[in-house]
Amino acid sequence: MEASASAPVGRHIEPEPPEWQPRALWVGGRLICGSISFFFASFVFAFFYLKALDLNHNWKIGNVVPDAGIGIAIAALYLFSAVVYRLAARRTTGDSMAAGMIAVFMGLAAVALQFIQYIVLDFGAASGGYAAVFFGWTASYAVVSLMGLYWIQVQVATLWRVRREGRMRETEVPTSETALLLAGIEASSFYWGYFVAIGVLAYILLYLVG
Amino acid sequence: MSAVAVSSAAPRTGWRKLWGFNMLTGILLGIGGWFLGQLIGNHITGQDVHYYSAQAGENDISVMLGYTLGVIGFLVGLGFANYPLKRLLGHPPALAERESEAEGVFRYFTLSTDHKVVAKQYMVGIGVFFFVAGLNAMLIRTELLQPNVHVFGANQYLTLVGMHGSMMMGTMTSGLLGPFATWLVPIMIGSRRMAFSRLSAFTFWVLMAGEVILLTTIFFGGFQTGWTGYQPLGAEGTAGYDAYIMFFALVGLSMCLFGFNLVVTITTMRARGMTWSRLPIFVWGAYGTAWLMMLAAPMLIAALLMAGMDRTVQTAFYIPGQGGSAYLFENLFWVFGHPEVYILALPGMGIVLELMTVFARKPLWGYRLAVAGMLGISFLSWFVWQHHLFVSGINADLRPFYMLSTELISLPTGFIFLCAMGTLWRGRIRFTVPMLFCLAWVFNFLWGGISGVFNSDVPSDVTTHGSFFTMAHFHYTIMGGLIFAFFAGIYYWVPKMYGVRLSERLGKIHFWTLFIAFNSTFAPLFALGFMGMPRRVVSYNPSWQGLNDWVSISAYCIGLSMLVFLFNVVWSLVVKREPAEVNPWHAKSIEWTLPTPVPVHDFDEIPVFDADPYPYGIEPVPGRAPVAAPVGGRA
Ligand code: HEM
Ligand SMILES: [Cu+2]
Repeated sequence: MEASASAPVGRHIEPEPPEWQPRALWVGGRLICGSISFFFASFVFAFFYLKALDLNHNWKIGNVVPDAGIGIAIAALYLFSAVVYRLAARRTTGDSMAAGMIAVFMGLAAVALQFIQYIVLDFGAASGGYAAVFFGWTASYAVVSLMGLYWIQVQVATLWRVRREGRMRETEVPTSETALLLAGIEASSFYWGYFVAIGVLAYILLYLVG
Repeated sequence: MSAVAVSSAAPRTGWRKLWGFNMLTGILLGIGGWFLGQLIGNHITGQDVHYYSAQAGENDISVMLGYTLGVIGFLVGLGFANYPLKRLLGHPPALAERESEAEGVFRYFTLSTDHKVVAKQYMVGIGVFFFVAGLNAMLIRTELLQPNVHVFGANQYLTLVGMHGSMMMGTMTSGLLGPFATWLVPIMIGSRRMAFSRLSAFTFWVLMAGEVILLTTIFFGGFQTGWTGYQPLGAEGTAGYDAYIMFFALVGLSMCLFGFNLVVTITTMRARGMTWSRLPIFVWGAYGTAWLMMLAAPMLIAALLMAGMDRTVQTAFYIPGQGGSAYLFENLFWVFGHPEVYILALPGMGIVLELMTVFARKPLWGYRLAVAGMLGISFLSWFVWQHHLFVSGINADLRPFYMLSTELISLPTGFIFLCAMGTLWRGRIRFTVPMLFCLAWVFNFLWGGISGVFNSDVPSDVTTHGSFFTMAHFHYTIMGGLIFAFFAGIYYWVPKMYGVRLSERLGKIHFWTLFIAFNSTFAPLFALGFMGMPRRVVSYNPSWQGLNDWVSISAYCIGLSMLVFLFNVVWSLVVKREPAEVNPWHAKSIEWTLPTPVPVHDFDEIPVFDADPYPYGIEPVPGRAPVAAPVGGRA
């Protein structure tokens, strides 16, 4: 059997401390919030920049008002998804699985609703600065949200498998699967909560301040 | 809980290796993805993609879709989708892929999670595109041999300038951290691996995909904006500009995730005893840089996403007549762009300080000052971006703030110089090839910094902006700084990384020719800039031809000097293969205590650090390990 960096094989090779990978997940979950903050901050910047500039009164060309009902529905779905998952993450793993499934379902529904909104919207992408920010922000938000949903779904799938098999499996990291799972649930729920907070900000700016 | 083997199946041999997830499959699926994307795009737009023609600019949707699906195909072919899909089906976490030594050289053409393999992939990949971009520079200087248009047209000339600048920036952003941090950080902090090893492989391969995409710009008319991609020129460009967008967005993705990975690794996976105040200075440099990469690159991605949307789905972020503003791009670009220049500079500072302790045989002078300098630079670099826009319509009242904040950065930069000087002071200096490159770094970077002050001073920037003076400024900082540190790192660490010696004699020839030719190329550009020669213009005032010819000839000498280096690499690493000593520089940092070649798991036992990283000239205390070496025996 071959030894490898992550999975040293053989008695004489000391495995890495088991707390490393869970800690990496904890820190990673927070740092990724920093990255997405700067990504969406660009849209916030564009929003205020173009709105303040309002070149030739082209911030909004024509009647550019997205349907507030759909906007509220989308924001509510995200918010519900994040709150349920985060609350459950602090309790038992059984709760986490159910909450995770609900969170993923709600999140996907929000993404779907977003694309339905594009179809029924009565302005196009070329209707001025606002329309640009609206499409750019909401579309990239929907796409980036799939990343978070994937992360949650991984936790759900693992919990599902563990329940079916009735046991944790061995991992090749010298950390128990339980510890990794708990860290994954904690980090993904923190990230998802933060991400949804950005979505709420998007709602406020795009629908209320717009 | 026990460790379980990862790759239990015996590695395939011979031709059968080609079948499976590797670079070849990646390329095939990448090409397939390109055509699929194009097909879909053509269906949407009702047009075909044209190559090399006047209509090359007309079908951005197909080109963008082609690139996107091409990259996805490439990554899937390399096997990046396998593990995420497994996790989606509930499989337990696993960290390793193709880490075993039994895979041989084949590892280098696959998704490998051994940090040492990824580092070497970076080294070679970056080397290749560094040379390609350098070749572009030679072509630029060939055009400038005469004041009129004579070899290339204006359009081709600008494309060459853009390809040179973008490729250098995009490649060398990972030029120091890619090979050296990936290789060294896990060893120096005793972690054996990056926190997210697959991500490490991902950042490398995504970068390579981007580089190839940038080259394809020539099929679609190139792009005229230079590396900064300014609007509205960008929005008006042909589909060649799509290649620029896609390339830089992928570079941004790679940077962001690489920085993220480094911050997590250094924060959470330091072995026992590796406190923050014992972190080698190179690791500090990487750490400061990593924060900038992680936070600044997303803004670049967003700015380019907006540019891409303007060109495909008809939004108007940057289109003034329709509610947008070209200046929005300039702002977003430089909010990323200024941290970017320090992303280029900081790791070089780390390497130079790290090496100076070895070759002056002294502890690092002012360790805390150096750390403060690095972190200070990282922090301040967020508050200066408008100095690139002093004469581009900025509100005049804002100028003093950005002028002062820019000049303030000289302060922490000064700390680094001070620490370098303090370390050299009364040291027993050995003028080895790596040390020569470090000393040259001090000289070059000083000129870069001083000329930077002229740029940051608004009254003088009104003259120097957009001129060859600015061009000379950033070549002194980047080529004179980053590239010299790059070579210092190569000559210093290659004996450990590859286990073979590089010829010292050829190294010295390389150094002296490069140092002289570099200065002879870029110093006259300061003068040309003062005379008013603008950047990115194909023709110039005939009275400047003398200096320009001098510069071009010096530039060819840089090219020749690089050939000496290339020859050295081929001769030493491929032909002669003289094994390197385990510790040829008598260095005391931990990587030199490992055997050569370094085993796949780095150390048998996780090291325990119980001393400062630079114990040169300090008598060992009895009963205490004299160096920052693993206490419990070596691997
Ligand atoms: C004391 C330190 C520095 C100061 C005060 C400084 C100042 C400036 C200023 C004011 C400009 C804008 C000039 C103009 O466009 O008119 C500039 C341009 C530039 N600087 Fe620096 N700089 C410093 C160090 C560096 C370093 C360390 C790097 C990179 C390693 C760097 C890379 C660049 C680049 C790439 C540009 C030109 C970008 C472009 O227009 O294409 N600078 N610098
Ligand atoms: Cu700058």
